[in-house]
Amino acid sequence: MERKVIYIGAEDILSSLGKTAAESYQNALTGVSGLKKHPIENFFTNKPLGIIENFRLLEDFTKVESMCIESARNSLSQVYDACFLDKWLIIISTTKGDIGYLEQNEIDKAKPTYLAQRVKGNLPLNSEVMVVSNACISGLLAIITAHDYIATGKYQHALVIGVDTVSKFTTSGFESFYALSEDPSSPFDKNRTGLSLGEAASCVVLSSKSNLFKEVPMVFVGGASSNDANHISGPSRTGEGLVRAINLALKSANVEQSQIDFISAHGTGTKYNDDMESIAFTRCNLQNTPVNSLKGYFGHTLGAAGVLELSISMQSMRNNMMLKTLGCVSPGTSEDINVLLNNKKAKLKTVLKTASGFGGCNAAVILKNNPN
Amino acid sequence: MKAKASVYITNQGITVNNKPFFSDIVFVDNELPFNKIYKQLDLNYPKYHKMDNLSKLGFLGVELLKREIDLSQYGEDRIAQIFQNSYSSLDTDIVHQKSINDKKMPSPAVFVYTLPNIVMGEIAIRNKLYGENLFTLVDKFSPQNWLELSNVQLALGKADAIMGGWIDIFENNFNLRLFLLDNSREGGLFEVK
Amino acid sequence: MNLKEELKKQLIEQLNLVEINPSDIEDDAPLFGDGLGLDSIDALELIVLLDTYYNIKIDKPEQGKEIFHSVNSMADFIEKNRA
Repeated sequence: MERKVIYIGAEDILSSLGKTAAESYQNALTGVSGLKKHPIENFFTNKPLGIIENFRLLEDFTKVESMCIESARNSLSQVYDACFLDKWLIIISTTKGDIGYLEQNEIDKAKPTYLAQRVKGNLPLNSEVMVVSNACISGLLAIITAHDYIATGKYQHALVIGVDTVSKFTTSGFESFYALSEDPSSPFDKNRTGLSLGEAASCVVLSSKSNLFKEVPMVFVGGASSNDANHISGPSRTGEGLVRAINLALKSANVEQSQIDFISAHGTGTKYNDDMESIAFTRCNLQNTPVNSLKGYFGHTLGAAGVLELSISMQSMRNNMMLKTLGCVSPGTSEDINVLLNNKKAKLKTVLKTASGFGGCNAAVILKNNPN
Repeated sequence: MKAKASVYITNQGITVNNKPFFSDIVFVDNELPFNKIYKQLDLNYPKYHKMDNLSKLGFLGVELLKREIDLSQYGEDRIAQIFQNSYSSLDTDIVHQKSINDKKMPSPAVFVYTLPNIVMGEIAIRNKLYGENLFTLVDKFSPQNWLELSNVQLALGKADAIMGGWIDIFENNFNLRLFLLDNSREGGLFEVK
Repeated sequence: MNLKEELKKQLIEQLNLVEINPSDIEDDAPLFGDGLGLDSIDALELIVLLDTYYNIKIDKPEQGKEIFHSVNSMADFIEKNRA
């Protein structure tokens, strides 16, 4: 089958660090973290969280719905609106959707498909909508699925919206795993003690046409997912699934390991995840490639993470600047990898983004700078 | 496009390749039949008992499917799992929510199942499947929709076979429509519906 | 009822060890390792067990390694710490 070139751009981020992708990126550049401690009664935890503050809800919409609609509108303002009448697919990536409804036992509204309809109904697109809910790889998986649908001609464009909020549901769950760090998470650090949760909505647009984008888009060249087939919550000690996902992504992108300029890793800050990633990157011969994790800035935003972190990586590509791994002072993982401890200027042509999640799932996506 | 094998487990009973199966297992209202099916299959797999209902449903469906199709004919990473439902993991979410409401210490064994994709993890572990995973949420099962999603992965060469379909459960209502599709032109006998 | 017998029943219930009877669990047998096939989630569930049945709270999961070594070590810990 003839390979279409699929473009990705119009990135938007609504997070604890800002209301646009550029704002979040600029704040991260100056080393600001969105992770703060909040009164324990608010989120049932006193551990640092990346909460979106001063966010005004849209009238008659919940916080989750408002976050999706605002971010989507911002993203769509970065494409020419003539394309709104073309055939679009909206994919929402989320682990828990509007889980607040569950507290009131409103089951039908707690279904993420309800959220999807509420969001789609308020966007000016001729579209169908689906939800990808695949733990922490949802964001990357949604982007890969969007690419796959456009590549096979089913849709012309896709809007991917990643969203999750910090809720008592998730904080209490992660606390039961003793997974939350007392201090803001320190990905890849030798003294790391766990992850910090965050919330965000983030969007990207994918299309077979580059002229829809007001700002030059990147090119999505490859992506894949793979399961560890090992344990439902602990990552594979050999990084099996992530190794496979990375290798498949490289193969489908027709890219060699040596061509990867930078890796935006999953890097949650837990002992097991970060060790596993170091092993996987080493097995893929990527141990010298500059790598960072963004979770020290935003926290782990679950269903939004893949989209948010890829968006920041795209901002990095636009600015030729790799961000340091905030929170990491002294790297220490099973295998030695090249963790960025300072912001670093570099020409970024080819970037790898990875993610891993509960259920043994792993995903990898490769983007290239648009040569045109 | 037709499936090479199909398994339905619904409140009405079990069907494998369009024929009733284990019809001696009585499906009682307000009681899930999964443990009876597990017993009848005579599997020695203690991990089964730790699964939530969504995972039990999917796991058992695949065990039945394996009696019709030899999964090892495909490469260990060449079977993609593509599942869909409307309730996500809400059947288990309500259990976790209850512990919050009752101010009790939440159970990590319950929390891990508050994600719908875990069923694919359980299936992957049991059958050593390293292939692609995709769990999507839609309001109603549209066979055409699921076939399209599957065809996309086959057309792009990401898998040689797709195992999945519809897997929905909430309280005492459950509906599994599991299919195995592959690239081969012959041998597909079962309508995806 | 004997604490250790109670504990075995609670273990079976909390960890969904459906195919195991209390008489299958020896007092001094290691709970982790080959015996009962317990994993990392089970280790965390045992912390919930201590809280649910004995009102004992554990700060760090690492403490679990010693406490949950066997039924004997669990019973010892409970006798010393129950609220």
